[in-house]
Amino acid sequence: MSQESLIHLDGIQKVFYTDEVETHALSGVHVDIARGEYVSISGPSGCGKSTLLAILGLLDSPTGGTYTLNGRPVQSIDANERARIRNREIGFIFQAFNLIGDLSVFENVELPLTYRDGLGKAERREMTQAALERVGMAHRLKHHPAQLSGGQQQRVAVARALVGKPSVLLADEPTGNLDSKNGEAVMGLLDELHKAGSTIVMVTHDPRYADFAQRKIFMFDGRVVDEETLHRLRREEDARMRELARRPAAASAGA
Amino acid sequence: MLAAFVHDLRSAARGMLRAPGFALTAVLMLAAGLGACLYVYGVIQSFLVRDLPFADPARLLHVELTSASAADNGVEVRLRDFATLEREQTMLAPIAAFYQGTVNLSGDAARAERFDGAYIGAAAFEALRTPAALGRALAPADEAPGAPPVVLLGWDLWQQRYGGDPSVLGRTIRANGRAATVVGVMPQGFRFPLAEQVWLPLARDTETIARMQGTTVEVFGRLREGADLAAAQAEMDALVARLNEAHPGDVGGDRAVVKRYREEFLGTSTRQILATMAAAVLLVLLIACANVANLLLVRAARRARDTAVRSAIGASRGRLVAGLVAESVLLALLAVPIAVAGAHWAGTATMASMRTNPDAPPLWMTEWSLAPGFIALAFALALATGMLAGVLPAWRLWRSSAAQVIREAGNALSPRGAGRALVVAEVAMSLALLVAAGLVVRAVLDVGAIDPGARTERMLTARIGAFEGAYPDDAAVRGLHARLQEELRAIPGAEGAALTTALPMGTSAAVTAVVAEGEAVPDPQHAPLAFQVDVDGGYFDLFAVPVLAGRGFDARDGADTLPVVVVSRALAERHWPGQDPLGRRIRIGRVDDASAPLYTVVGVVGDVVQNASAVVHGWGVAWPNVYRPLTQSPARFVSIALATPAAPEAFAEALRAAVQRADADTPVYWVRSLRSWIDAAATDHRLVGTIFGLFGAFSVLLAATGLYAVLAYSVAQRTREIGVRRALGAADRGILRLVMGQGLRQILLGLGIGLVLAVGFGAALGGILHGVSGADPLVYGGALVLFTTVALVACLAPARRALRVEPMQALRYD
Ligand SMILES: Nc1ncnc2c1ncn2[C@@H]1O[C@H](COP(=O)(O)OP(=O)(O)O)[C@@H](O)[C@H]1O
Ligand SMILES: [Mg+2]
Repeated sequence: MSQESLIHLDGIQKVFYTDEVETHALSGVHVDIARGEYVSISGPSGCGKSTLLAILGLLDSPTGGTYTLNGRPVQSIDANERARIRNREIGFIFQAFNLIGDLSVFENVELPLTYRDGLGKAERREMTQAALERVGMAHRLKHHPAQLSGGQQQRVAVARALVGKPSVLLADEPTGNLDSKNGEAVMGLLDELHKAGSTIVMVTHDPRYADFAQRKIFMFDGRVVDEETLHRLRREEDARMRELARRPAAASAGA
Repeated sequence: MLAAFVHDLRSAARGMLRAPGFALTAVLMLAAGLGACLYVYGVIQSFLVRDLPFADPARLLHVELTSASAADNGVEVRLRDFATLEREQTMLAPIAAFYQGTVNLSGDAARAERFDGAYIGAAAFEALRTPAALGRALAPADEAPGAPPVVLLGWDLWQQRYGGDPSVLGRTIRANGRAATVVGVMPQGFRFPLAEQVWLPLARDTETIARMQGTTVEVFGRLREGADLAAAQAEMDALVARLNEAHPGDVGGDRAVVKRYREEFLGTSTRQILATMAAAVLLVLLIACANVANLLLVRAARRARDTAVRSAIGASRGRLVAGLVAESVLLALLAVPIAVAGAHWAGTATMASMRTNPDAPPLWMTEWSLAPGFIALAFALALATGMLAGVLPAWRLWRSSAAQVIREAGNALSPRGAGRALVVAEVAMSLALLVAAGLVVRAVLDVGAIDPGARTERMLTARIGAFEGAYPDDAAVRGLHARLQEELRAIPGAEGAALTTALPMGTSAAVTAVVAEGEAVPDPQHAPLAFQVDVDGGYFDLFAVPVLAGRGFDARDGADTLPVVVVSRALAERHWPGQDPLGRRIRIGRVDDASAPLYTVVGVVGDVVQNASAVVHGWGVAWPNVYRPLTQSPARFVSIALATPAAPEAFAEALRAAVQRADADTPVYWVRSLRSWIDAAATDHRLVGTIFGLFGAFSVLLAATGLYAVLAYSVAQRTREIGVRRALGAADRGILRLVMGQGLRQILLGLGIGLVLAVGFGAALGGILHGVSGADPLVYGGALVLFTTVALVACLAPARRALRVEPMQALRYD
């Protein structure tokens, strides 16, 4: 583990138990992310991207392996301490924006700061204002989310993610709910943030957007794979699917 | 059109079956609210709306007297004065009089029995326009001097005592010890004036009138065609003025009170109690409706996306609204029958319990019935509730495009809390009801906590009457008393017996004026009062009334010895403060009559609360007592008290048998424990207390459910928002503040409004029920604490659910 490594995942496993079915969402993931890196994670649907991001963001804990964040092992700390770390170290950007409808733009962005002890009102105000200015939404302070376009909402969500000066921004399909014009605008915003020094981990299934990142991580069936392996596995799976699709037809023809 | 609606109804039914918990809750809440309402309005109908069960009852008028100084404005008319009124008035045709009494029937095969009855003028039956079912009613000739004595029977009595045998007509039986011929049987259901079922002629000869100088009668009549109430009132006033000129100070009142007969049966307090209950029950209904509306709103919100999809695939708005309407129709269809059944059950039970009250209202008032109009109204209300709740979401639907609804349903993180205002209202109303319930219950407990100053537990009581026919003079009555004492004392296992004209905490004690010898003779209207009770030598001992000075009564007090009294400590202190009362003399009753006897005080005893209903109604609590020995004033009506080691009811047969041995023809009635009399006196309080208590408990339950539903729904709706907040680093504290904060704001606001409402209720109740203080801090405090506890408990489950929301929820996109 290098000294600069902000995030270090070692043999991370995640198994979901539902209705007696075990889902191995992650099976031995090793990832190192350095401070200031911009990393994309892509792969087919269901391969474990969101699960990995949730573990990175301390929204969920792994069932195996170790996670070191900023030099501190965090895979098994209690819920309130995790909340505290989330609040200070991590900024989330969600596909569905997840702005709170009852709160104004300003209040939405300020929200993470209200969960932090020791910040005065004036200080919070200043930080919120600055974050909104960085995303170009400082002119919409009093608006409510419903009064904004999708692209604007996502920019507010980005402001909310970076207002607390977190160590890392985590984005799960940040463009998933946006048209391509707005999608590109958000990507441009992330690019800008990266250039200014932010560490970013972004999940996307869209190769165009993955190209914005400095480094691409590919996943397949709960594992990190390289790009070529991913393409091979994909081709094999496609072939299997075609086979499956043919078989029932053949069976019914024979009957 | 109709087919479409039937289809809607059917799919509404399917929807309810799919969510049976919701359907059951909504139906039961609605049913409970409506049921409570129907119940109270049914009672109100019986008491306030329903008229007497006689032909053209609106023309039946009641006449009594009042005076500026009289506390009571229902002074009966003296028999002597009735004769004058009857002769000179012209507005009532006919006018009639009666007084109630018990009638002892004997002298036939059956055992002697006592019934509630009345001495009644023949004109009464004409005024009531009710002929006999068998034979004839009483006739004017029956009242003539020397007319052969007759008796008229009620239907139930005839069935029960004579097996419905028509040959009873013309038979001679004994009524109150006198031979009388049965002349008729009144029709089924006829009771008059209250529950009476045997009638004897009102003796009208001048000799009787002279002898019955103090006797007063109730007067009523039928308003003559073409006359009105005002004219009748004016004429009566004039006649009463003339009576007062003829007999100054001896008429009982200087003005007439003429009113519709029905109103005679309605105390002002009854009216107020019913009005308060009507207001309270309306609150309960409102709360229930608010809750149901709330549930429907929650459901509508939950189905907003479904609805939007339906509209997207082409359902017209009309159809969608019709669907909501169908749902409320179905709710009403299910809730109203349950409400009617519940109200009927409760109403029947209440009426039955009212009939056991010693001063029960007339029987026809306590027949439970529910007007079809009320049922229709209940149905309309149920529909309205459903519709109102359905209209809100329907209105939103109407205004927004389908696409908008889909987007909002999918994306909104925080729904409009449409139910929040409802919760505030519920909290306010239930706190008010809870306080009202607390005030009444407190008053009931206070009545129960009164120290009667005498033993009231393990005491069997009964009453007997010695009639002139069998016991023509004092000596005969004394003989009966002596035999009774002997037989009663011989009852094995009993702890002793006593005879008394009135029982402690009972209803029979006479109120009388008392003046000590040497005191200035006051105006009789303002003489100091006391409860007067005539007792035998065993009384003080049996009731554990302490003899503080001198002695109780004993063999020294004979018929011809010095007339003596025993007084209570309060009486002694009132008339001879700081002096020795023994040997002093007093006048009782006609204190301004110098020829009235003087009684010598031979003993001082502890004070006894002689009248429980006096306590309940707030008068005479502190009135002192004066006792005379039964040997010197042999009363014809006496109560028997038998002290028993255990359950008094077990001695009922032994007591009856003992009386039978003393005189087989003297019926014993009112055989019940002293405790049951005392309890009966507080029936009003208890009934109101029970009803308010139920309302209060019910409304608290409803408010708690409402609060729970709104919060639980809000937590369910905000799951993602909570997840997002968690993802942003909110600790438990932050989530709790979010959920409870909302609940607490509603509760606090509701409590504030509720307190104002409660003060109003408290003031209303304080004016009605004696002993209820509108501003009892204990009750207000208790209600606040209780309510807040219940409300917090209701918040607990949703709060816990909110705390369990995982931050992962933030990543969900469905
Ligand atoms: N909470 C959960 N319970 C059970 N299975 C889950 C849960 N979350 C994700 N999974 C399963 O784990 C696998 C990975 O899911 P996810 O990380 O959401 O994939 P991706 O984001 O790459 O599409 C899938 O098979 C998914 O069904
Ligand atoms: Mg995903």
